[in-house]
Amino acid sequence: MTSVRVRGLTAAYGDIDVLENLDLDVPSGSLMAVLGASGSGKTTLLRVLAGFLRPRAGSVFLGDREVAGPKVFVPPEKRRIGIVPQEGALFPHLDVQANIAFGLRKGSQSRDRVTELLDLVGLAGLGAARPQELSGGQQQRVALARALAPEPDVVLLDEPFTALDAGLRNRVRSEVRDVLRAVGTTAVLVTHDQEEALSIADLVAVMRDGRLVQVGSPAEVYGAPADLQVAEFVGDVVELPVLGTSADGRVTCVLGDVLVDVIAAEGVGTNTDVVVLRPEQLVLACPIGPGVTSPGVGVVRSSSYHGHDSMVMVAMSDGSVVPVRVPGGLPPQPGEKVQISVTGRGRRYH
Amino acid sequence: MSLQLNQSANPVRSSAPGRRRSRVFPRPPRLLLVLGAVTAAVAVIPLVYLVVRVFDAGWERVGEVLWRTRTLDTVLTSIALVTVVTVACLVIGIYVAWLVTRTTVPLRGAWLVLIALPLAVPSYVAAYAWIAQFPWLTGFWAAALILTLVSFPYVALPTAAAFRLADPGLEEVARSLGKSPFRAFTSAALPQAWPAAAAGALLVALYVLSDFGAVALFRVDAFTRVIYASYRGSFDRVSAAVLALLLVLLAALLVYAERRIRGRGRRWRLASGAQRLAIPVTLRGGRLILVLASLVSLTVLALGVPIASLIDLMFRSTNVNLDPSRLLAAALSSAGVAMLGAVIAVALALPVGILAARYRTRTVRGIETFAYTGHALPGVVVGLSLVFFTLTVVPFAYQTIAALAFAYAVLFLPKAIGATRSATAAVPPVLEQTARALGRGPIRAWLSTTARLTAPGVAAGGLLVLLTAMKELPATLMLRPTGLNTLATEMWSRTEIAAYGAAAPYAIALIVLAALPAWLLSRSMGSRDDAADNVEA
Repeated sequence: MTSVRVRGLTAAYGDIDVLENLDLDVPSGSLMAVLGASGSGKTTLLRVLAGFLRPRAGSVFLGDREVAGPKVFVPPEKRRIGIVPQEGALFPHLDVQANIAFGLRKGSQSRDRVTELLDLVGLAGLGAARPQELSGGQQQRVALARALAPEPDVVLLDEPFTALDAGLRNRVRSEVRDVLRAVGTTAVLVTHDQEEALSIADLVAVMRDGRLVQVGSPAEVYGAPADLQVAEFVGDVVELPVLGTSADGRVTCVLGDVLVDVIAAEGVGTNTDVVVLRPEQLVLACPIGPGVTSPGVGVVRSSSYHGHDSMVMVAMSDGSVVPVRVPGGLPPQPGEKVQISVTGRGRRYH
Repeated sequence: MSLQLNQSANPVRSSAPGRRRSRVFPRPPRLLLVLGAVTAAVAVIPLVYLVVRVFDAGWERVGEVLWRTRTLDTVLTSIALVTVVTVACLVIGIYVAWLVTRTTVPLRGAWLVLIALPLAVPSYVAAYAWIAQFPWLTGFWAAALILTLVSFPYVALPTAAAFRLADPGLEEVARSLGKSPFRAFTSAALPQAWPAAAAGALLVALYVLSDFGAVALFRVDAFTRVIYASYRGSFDRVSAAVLALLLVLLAALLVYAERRIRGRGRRWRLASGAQRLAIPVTLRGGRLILVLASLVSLTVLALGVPIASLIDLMFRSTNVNLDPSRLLAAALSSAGVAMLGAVIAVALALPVGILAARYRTRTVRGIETFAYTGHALPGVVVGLSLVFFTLTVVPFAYQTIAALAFAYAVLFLPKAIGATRSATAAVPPVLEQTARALGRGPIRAWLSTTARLTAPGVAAGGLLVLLTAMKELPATLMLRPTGLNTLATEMWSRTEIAAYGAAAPYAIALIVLAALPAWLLSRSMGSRDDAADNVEA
């Protein structure tokens, strides 16, 4: 069991600093997802952890072992890490068992270990197959088995599911998580897919412009985003301008009074003052009487039907349009009058 | 991201493989098949006639030639030469390819051009340039050295391309699994480039086996020299024919092996692979100096010595009577016959190239294989066979420009087919189908769409045939009409009598001609983004 500790890390390609003074702690045995848009520096972080890129400053510890620092640089082959690259990167000239055995010493023990790993990733009996005979999901599982074979201290996964198509992605993702849990290895996964990060990880680290902006459990990151951009990045949001405040911790918006947690925006966007809600916090009631004019009443402008739910766009009295997700059934039709009410707490960013 | 619904299962996901499987090639038009069959039949004439001649001689004569010790010597000499040169080219080629694609060696772009340029030096020109300065150079090792210097780019260029396409993720995975940088290279990067390197090595082997100029000048009794000598000297047609057939068998074996390896290389590549380049190995200090020294000395040997030697000879030959009108006449007749050959080659190649690009049926593959016969036929063999053929079957064509142009067309038909095929494959068939839907007949539809778009590619193929044919030596020596002198034969007749200075202008003209396709080749391989641009930040 090994934790990952990063202190004051600065890394660069050429003259461009990609990571700046970054600190990160991955507790032993946990799976951390590093979530960021492309260009945020998440892949660079992974390459520094793996030892493919020498940091400009700062240190990296795997457990108690300093693997990169002002005076130390341990090359990748001495770090006891496993990597699962994008699209697997299986050796095309080797069959499945030779791929898995690549990092093992030759011998009968190696053969037993390969069998064990094939069982673990659910590919028993496919040892003699060539990589190109496998589906994308199977290739990815072989890549995981290959990374786990030498019992690494830490496994690094670089966007391992992006090449898979949507249906397969969910399945392979949960299989990989189950395998990593079963083995108990510390793992760092890099992704730009917020749904993936939230569903697979114990901890999510949100990265932006080479910095970590928030680290927390999936529920914390989704439920209490550190700033507006994180809120927008990790899920769908409904943003409503604040129309007024009251003393009891409520603010007034076009949907009426909403109980909020207040977060002060740091520096940028000083003009914004918004209440942020998740679409699932909005509940639609209809039909309502023609005379009712309480807050939250609007007229359906359009709706799109998706089977398991529908998205209804509601035009409010002030002209703004609020999207509401309505589960199941047939959505209200354009022109119908509806009332939107809010459940739970909103968050105010200003 | 503001509001956006979760995308659930994508309904069209499963249709892609099904579509691919159900894609059936349409049946080729009959006219095209007939024309293609004509090409295939024409292309095998030299080979078939050679076989006919050998069998006409009777088993007894054939056996007698085969069991001579001289025949065994010839076979062993050729195989030894092929082996030595191929191994040397593999080592040099892979090393150079690695340097220019995977390290921080300065001026990578320039080195890439410099390692392609030796292709522009015909082996007999290189051999002559060396002999003129170092007359004591002779024999097996001299020939091996020169052939290595002119043919290592056949390995270096495709290997460099393969290194560039290879997925650097594999090497990184190998490092993370505990392999040293060198072991990671040999176990993860090299296997990805190996099919390209091996296919290149087999081209080298084929080139060495077919080469006439260098072995003749260095007096190595390899196949081509022995065949030519027995044809010229004793007019011992049977033994020349038997040896020629033996040579073709060896060449066909190499071509077959090359096809196999190339096919496997295609299968080896997994569809995926991260789209970025490897971070190059940093070279500094002593290692950088060693590496630069090796590249410089290779370039000096392969290009510097021949060019300097030719320039030196050129200046020394000014007191020898240089006749510009004779040079011009030779250049014009070279170009004239080669142009005729190129026109025939393109006309023969068109139906086969179109068939191969559009209709991959079994019949088409058969036609293509036969049409490629010239690829495995050394010039000396085509020359010999067509001498027999014209003498006995069409005596009025013996030693005519037509016979010579025909030999060029058969020899270099594969180049024209390759160009036509890739040009046609690059044009979507839907254009032609649209033209059909708009009311044009098949030929007019082809003329107004595909033909126009493929014309530049086909013309480039024709140009390649033209330039290659102008350099062809042994077939020209054997088939040319009396009194017709080309650049290659003019140069050759002068080196044969050791008039090295007088040969220089012709040699320089040949190099300039040959540099064109080599330059085009290196340009198509040389486009390369800087590694840093592709590293995901």
